[in-house]
This record gives sequence, C-alpha cells and structure tokens, in this order.
Amino acid sequence: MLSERLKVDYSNFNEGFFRRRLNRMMEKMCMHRLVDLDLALGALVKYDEMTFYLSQPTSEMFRSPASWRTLRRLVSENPSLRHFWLPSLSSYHDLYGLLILLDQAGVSDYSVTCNVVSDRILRSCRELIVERSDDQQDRKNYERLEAQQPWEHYVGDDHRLRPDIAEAMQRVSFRGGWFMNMPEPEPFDVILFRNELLNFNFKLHRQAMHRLTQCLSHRDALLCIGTKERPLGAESLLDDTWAEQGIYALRNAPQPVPATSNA
Amino acid sequence: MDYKAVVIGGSAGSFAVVSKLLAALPTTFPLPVIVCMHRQKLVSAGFAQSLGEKSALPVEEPCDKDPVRRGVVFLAPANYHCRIEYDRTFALSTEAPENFCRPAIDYTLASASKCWRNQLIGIILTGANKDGGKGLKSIADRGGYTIVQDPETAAVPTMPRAALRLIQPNEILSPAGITDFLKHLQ
Repeated sequence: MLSERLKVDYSNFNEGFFRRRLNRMMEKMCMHRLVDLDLALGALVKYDEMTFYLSQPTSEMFRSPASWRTLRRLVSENPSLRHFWLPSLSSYHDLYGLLILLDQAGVSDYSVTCNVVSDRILRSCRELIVERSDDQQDRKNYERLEAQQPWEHYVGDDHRLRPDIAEAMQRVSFRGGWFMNMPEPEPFDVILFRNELLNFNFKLHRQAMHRLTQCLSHRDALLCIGTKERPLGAESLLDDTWAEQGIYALRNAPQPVPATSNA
Repeated sequence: MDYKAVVIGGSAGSFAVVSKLLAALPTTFPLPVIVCMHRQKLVSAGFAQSLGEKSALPVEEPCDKDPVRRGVVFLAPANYHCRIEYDRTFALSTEAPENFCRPAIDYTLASASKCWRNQLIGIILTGANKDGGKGLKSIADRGGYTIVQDPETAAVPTMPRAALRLIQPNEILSPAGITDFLKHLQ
C-alpha cells in the first residue's frame, strides 16, 4: 500500500533497510502504531513528509573523493559529457558537489536534471546552504579533491554557496517522481546514482541497472555508482576501467526489454 | 559445535592484534572470517592490503550483495555499515553512524548472530569505545560462542570492558589465546 500510494517500489527495497527507515519515519512523524500509518495513507495526507523520511540522505559532500577526482578528469577531457542526471536526489550533497566539480573542470555548457521524490528535499537543495553539522567532513573530503581553489572559494563563512555556484543552479532542472516510473528512457551523458543501489534488493538492483544503462546516451557515457556497489546484470554492457571508483562507461547498448518482462 | 563463521570487532589498537591473528591462520581455515574495525573514513584500500600481506587467507573488502565465502577474510569497508543478510550476503549501508562509528561493530555482530545463530563465534578485541558489546550480547543470546580479549592485554580496554559489563562470555583470552582457539577449529 505504501509503495502504491507513494509511487516508489518500497516492496523491493532491502527489507532490513526499509524496516529501519519505516521505523524512523514513524518516529519522526509521531506515528506510534501501524494503524496511524494506515490512517495517514488512507487520508491522502503527509505523503511528501513520508517520502522525505524514507529517503536515505547522502550526508556528506564528495564522499569517496578519489571517485570525484576521476569524474572531474573524465568530464574535463571529454566534451561529450555535458548532460548530467541525478535520478534519485536525496539531499543537496551530490548536487552541490557536482556543480563545484564542473566549475573546477572548467565546464560551463552543461545541464543537470534531478529527480526528487519529496518537495522537502527540493526546498533544501534550493536553499544553497551547506549544513554546519556536515562542514568538517565536507572540508576533509574536499581537500582530497586536490583542487586549486580552497573550500572558501565555494562556501562562505555563513555556509552559503558563493554566487558563482548559486548562479550555476540555473542550469539545474528538478522534476518530481521516482526515476523507475519514467515511461521512457531519456538520454544522459553522465548519471550519478551513488550508494542508492545499496538500498535495493537483488531484483530492484538489476531492474534499476537496466533502466540506468538504457539512459546512457552514447558509447563513453558514464554511470557513477558507489565504490562498494556492483553493476549487477549490466556487467557486459559496461567498461570497468574505473570500477574501483564506481565509474563505468557504456560499451554496448542494452537490449530493449519486452513490455511484459520483469527483468 | 559445527561453527559456520567467525566475526571479529575491534577499534583502537586492534590492527596489530588482527594482523597477528590472521597471520596464524592456515590456508585451510574452514570458515569465513568477518572483521569489523573502526578506522578513518578515508582509509580504504591500503588497510585491507596491509592485513592481506600478513595473512595466508585472502583479505577482501566486500561489495554490497557479495556472498560470504569460506576461507576468506572479509573486512568491513570504511564509511559503510556492514550487515549480513539471511541469505549469507553482505548488505552495506550509508545510514547514520552508530556509537559515532561507521562501520558499527554492533550492527555487524548482531546481523551475523541472526544469520548463523548458535553456529557463530563472536570476538571483541581492544578498543576505545563501547561499540560491539550489544552485538556480542546478541550472539550470546542466540547461543553463539563469545570471546572477549582480556582487558589486561588490551592496548585500550574500554571496548572489552564494555562487553564484559553486558555478558559473561565463554572465554576471556589474550591475543595469543584467541589465536590458539581459532587454530583449533580446524
């Protein structure tokens, strides 16, 4: 019922992970019994809050800095990598990180598309503020990027993003809805889907991989997943040169899936 | 008892203990060894490599959904919680730190106890916080075999003492005693 109402396939999330998120959501929303959840779902209220608490936020910018370094190099070297997609944006961290990275790569002719399942996540992204509680870890990760510009070049003392990056937000478009519900695959040059597959079971992991590889626009288009995630079911389609960094380039186009198949 | 897995938790000072322990295990060691150690978030590949150089068994950092295999030492990756699923696969997550730690030893030990129940050996080594005690209790509650490093031999005794406050383990051993115990599992 939750999956149906919130339009996200929670039934195929990792069971233990989903149970913990559900407990957290109920705690945050002061739902003490399952009947409270049932009532809220039946009354068609608080759906946005539910999807917000069920999402697992990234919690730090530039997590796995070596991956970001590799991505920066690949993007600066290859002008065909300009259309970016974050299919499941759960917090501002990866989006702000990407905008900073593109600035460092000297790239300005790009577009970024983000799918967000909750308006609350969207609002936090538009605030252009880096949370104070994350600041130290973000800085440590940033230093590992070995960038010429200091952290303060991008983030002010008031924790706001500097105007250049704020301006770059004009290149970002947001849209609602879960990425797996998109009726047709859309082409993108770089897909950032880091540490999201962890939350899925085997079946949904494979389905997501199929959908994501369908959305890679051309040979050399990049799929970025977590450094401890595997591209299950899509290994034969991807070049694993940068697998240690969770970055895979498309080598062979995926076959279309028959409409009736679950694969 | 026909044990199916060994799970080890440690923090400050445990690298040296784990290194010696793994170095003593033969290539024919029959069980998977899952090691969850606290470490810096950004310390990754070199850590497993260092342990691997001293170990006769292969040392790997598992990826999410990788299967647990016998005769392999699995080291919980930095900055991920590491759980074991009922189907004997690893489930990594980026959920919030527990006891200020990610990976949290409590999570690894408790999930392993649900998976192997009384066929699991749980070991808590030296460390500077209380993480791991609840996980070890979970193993004890399900009839698994529990070992705590003797706090007198620990570089930092906080972690073994915290575990001893929660349970009476099957053994309280020095690092050499733990090594002997595991060698006799052959």
